[in-house]
Amino acid sequence: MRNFWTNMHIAGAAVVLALTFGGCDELLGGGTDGFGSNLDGGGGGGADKGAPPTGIVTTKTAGQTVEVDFATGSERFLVVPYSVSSTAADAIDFDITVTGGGTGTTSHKLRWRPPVPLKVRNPKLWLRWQQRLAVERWTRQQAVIAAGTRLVPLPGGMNQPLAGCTTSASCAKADQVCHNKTCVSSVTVNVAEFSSVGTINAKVRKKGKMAAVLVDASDTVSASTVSAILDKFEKVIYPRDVGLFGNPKLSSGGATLSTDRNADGLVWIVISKQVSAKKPAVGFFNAVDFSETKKNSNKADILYVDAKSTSKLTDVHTILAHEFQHLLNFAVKKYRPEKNGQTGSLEALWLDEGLSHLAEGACGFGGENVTLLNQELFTAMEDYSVFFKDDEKGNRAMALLYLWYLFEQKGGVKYNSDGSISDSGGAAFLKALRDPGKQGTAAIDAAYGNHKSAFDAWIAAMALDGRGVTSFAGYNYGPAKSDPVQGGTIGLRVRGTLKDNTGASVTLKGPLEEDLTGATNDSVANASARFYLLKGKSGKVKVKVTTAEKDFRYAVVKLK
Amino acid sequence: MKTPALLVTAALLTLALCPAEASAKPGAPATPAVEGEPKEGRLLVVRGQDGGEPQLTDRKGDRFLLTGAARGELLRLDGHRVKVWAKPGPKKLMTPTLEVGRYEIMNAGYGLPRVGQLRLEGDRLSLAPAKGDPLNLKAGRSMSRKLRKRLGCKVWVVTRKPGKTAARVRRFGWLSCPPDKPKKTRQDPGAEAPGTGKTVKQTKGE
Repeated sequence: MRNFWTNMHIAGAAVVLALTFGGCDELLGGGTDGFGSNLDGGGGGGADKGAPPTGIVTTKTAGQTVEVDFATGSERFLVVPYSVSSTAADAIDFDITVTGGGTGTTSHKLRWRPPVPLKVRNPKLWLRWQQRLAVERWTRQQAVIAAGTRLVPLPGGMNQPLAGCTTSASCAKADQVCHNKTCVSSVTVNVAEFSSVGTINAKVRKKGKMAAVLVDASDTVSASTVSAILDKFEKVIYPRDVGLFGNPKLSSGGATLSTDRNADGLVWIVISKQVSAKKPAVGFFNAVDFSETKKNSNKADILYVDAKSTSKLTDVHTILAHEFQHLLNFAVKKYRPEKNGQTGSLEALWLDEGLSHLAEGACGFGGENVTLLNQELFTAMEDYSVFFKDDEKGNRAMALLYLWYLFEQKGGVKYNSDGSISDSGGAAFLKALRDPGKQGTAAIDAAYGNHKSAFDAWIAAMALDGRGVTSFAGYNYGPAKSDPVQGGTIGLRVRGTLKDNTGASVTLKGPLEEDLTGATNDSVANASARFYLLKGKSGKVKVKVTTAEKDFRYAVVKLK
Repeated sequence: MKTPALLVTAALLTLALCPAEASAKPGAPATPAVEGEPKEGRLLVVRGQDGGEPQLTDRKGDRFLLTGAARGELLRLDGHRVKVWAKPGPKKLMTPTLEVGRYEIMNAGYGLPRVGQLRLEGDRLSLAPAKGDPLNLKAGRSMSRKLRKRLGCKVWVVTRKPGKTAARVRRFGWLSCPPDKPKKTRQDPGAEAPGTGKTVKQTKGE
C-alpha cells in the first residue's frame, strides 16, 4: 500500500512539474507539450516534500522549444541538455539554438577556473586513487572466480561449526574465535590469491560482537590501533552499512546472517602486510573466500587490511565502509539466493561502486568523495556517466551523486548516537535494490521508480542545489546531518563547503558552466549532462535543443 | 569468359548496394575462435573481472556471461543490443557462459551502427569498415574533437541520414584501440593530448 500511495504521490508531482513554467505553457499551449506528456511517468521520490515551486524548472524532450522571458534583462537561466540513455556512448551530438533577445557574443567562456587536477595538486593522493581502482579491479576478478565455483556446500555439509564451539562468542577467551569447530587463538589464512607467501598465521587480537581483528604474526600492530579499528567497525561501520543495505538471515528461520560465511557470528578483519604484496592496497574484500570449492578460499567472511596502512586510520575506516558494502552486496544478492536454490546476480558495476561510495559517506568517511566531486567530476561532467561502464573516479562520483539524491528523496535515514540508524525511507530503498532478479537501472526502476524520471529530477537538483533559489527539497540535496557518534557531518552538496579527506574545507561550485549566447553544437556521454548559462538577453528568448537521439532531454532552470 | 565478368559485376553491385550491411558487421575478432548459434539480447556490465563482466540477457530473460577474444570490446557496449555467435562455455558466476566467436551490434542506442577503424584522410575523418568503402564522417566541433582522440581505434558510429560516402556522426563509442592509445574515456586533465606527448595509460597494474 505504501508503494502505491508513494507512486501516486510521484505521479502527482510529475503533473505539477509539467505545469511549472508559465512561459512554456503559453508557448506550447496549455502544457500539452509539457513535462508530463513527454517524459516517463512513475518516477520521483517518496519524501513528502510538497509541490515544486512554479516557474523554476522546465524539462523538455529534445526537439521542443522553451521560451524564457528576460523581462528586466538581469535574469539568468541554466540550459542543461542531458542524456538519460543507459546505452553506452562516449559522445552524443546535440545542437542548441537561441533565438530572439538581442545579439551577444558567441564565445563559450568557462565560468570558473577548473581546480588544479588532483594529479598535479596532490600526486600522492592521485597515486593512491590509481592504486585503489586497480585493487578493486582485482577484487572484482576475485568475485568472478568465487562465483564460478561452488558457493554452497554439498547437501548434508551445511557450514555449521559444531563440536567444540558453535560461534566465536561461545569461545570464552577474548583472543579466540571459533574456527573449524574449535576455539583458537590463531588461524592459518590463505592469502595465495594476492601474495606469494601462500598462507599467514593470523593471531586473534581482539573480538567484539560483530567482528574480530586478526593480525599477521609477522606484523606489528599496536593494541590501540587494533582497538580503534574494531571499535569504529562495530560502533559505526557495521551498524550503518547493515542498517542501510540489510543483512538478512541466510535462510528463513535460520540464525546465520547472509554475510556470515563461516557461521562463527563475526566478520574477520585480517591485517597483514601481504595485503599489498603485489599491488598497493589499503584493503579489500575477496569474494573467493565465499567459494566452497576454490582452492584458496578461506570459506569465511573476511575484510583484509594492509598492515602498513594502519598508520592512517581514516583511510582504513573509509576502505572498511566501502568494502563491507561490497561484501554485503555479494552475500545478499549472489550468495544468499544461490544458497537457497535460486539464481543470484552480481550487481551492475556502476551501481555497486556507487553504493560503496554512498556507504563511505553515510559512515562519516565521505572526505574522498568530496575530492572526487571537486577534482574529477565537476571539471568535465559531460564526459562522465551515471550508468558507467568504465571504472573511473569521475564516473564513480557521478553515480554517487545520483544515488545519494535518490536515497535522500526517499527520506534518507536518521543517524543515532548508538551508531544505529533509523530509517526514514532511504534504507528501505537501498535494501530493495538487493532484489537478485534486478540489476542496474532495472533495480532502480523497481526500488525507486522510473530511473529516467529520477534522472530528470536529479538534473534539476544538480542545477539548483546550493544556489538559494528555492528550498524545495526535490531541487536540493538535504542539509548535512550531524554525526552523533563521530562528531562530523554527513551529507553531499553540489555547491557549498564540505571537508575533503585531508580535513580541509573545499568549496564546491558544481559542474562547470559555459556561457550560452548563440547557436551551439556540442556533445555529452550517455547518462550525462552539460550546463550552459544564458544571460544578458532582453525580451522573449526561445531555446531549443535538438538531437537525433531518443532519451535526450533538456532542462531550462531559472536562477534569477 | 562471361562468368568472371558476371561475378565481378555481382560483387560490385553487392558492395554498392549494401555498404551499411558490410560496415554494420562489426566486431568480429581478427581470428574468430568459435562460431556457434546466434543469441541476441542486451548487454550489461556487471561487477566482475577486471573492468567488469559483460552479461547478455536474452529475450527469455536468461543471463549469460560472455567470454572469448571479443570480451574487451563487449565490455564497452553496456546497454547495447547485440547478437553473438557463440558456443556454451563452462559456468562462471554460477551462470552459463558463452564463448563469443563474433558479434554484431544490433542497436547502439537508437540505430544500427557502422563499425570500423577511425582514420584521418587528409584533414577529414573517415571510417574504414572491415569490408566495403570508407565512409567520410562529418561531425560537429565537440564530436570531432572526441573522434580525433580515437584515431586508429575500432569504433562504432550512428549517423544521421546515412549517405553512401559521407554521414554526420550523432553517437559514437570506441571498441578497441592500439596499445599506444589511452584507455580512459577521458584524458586526465594533467596529461597532454594523445599524439602530442606522453599519454595516460590505464594498465592493469596502475
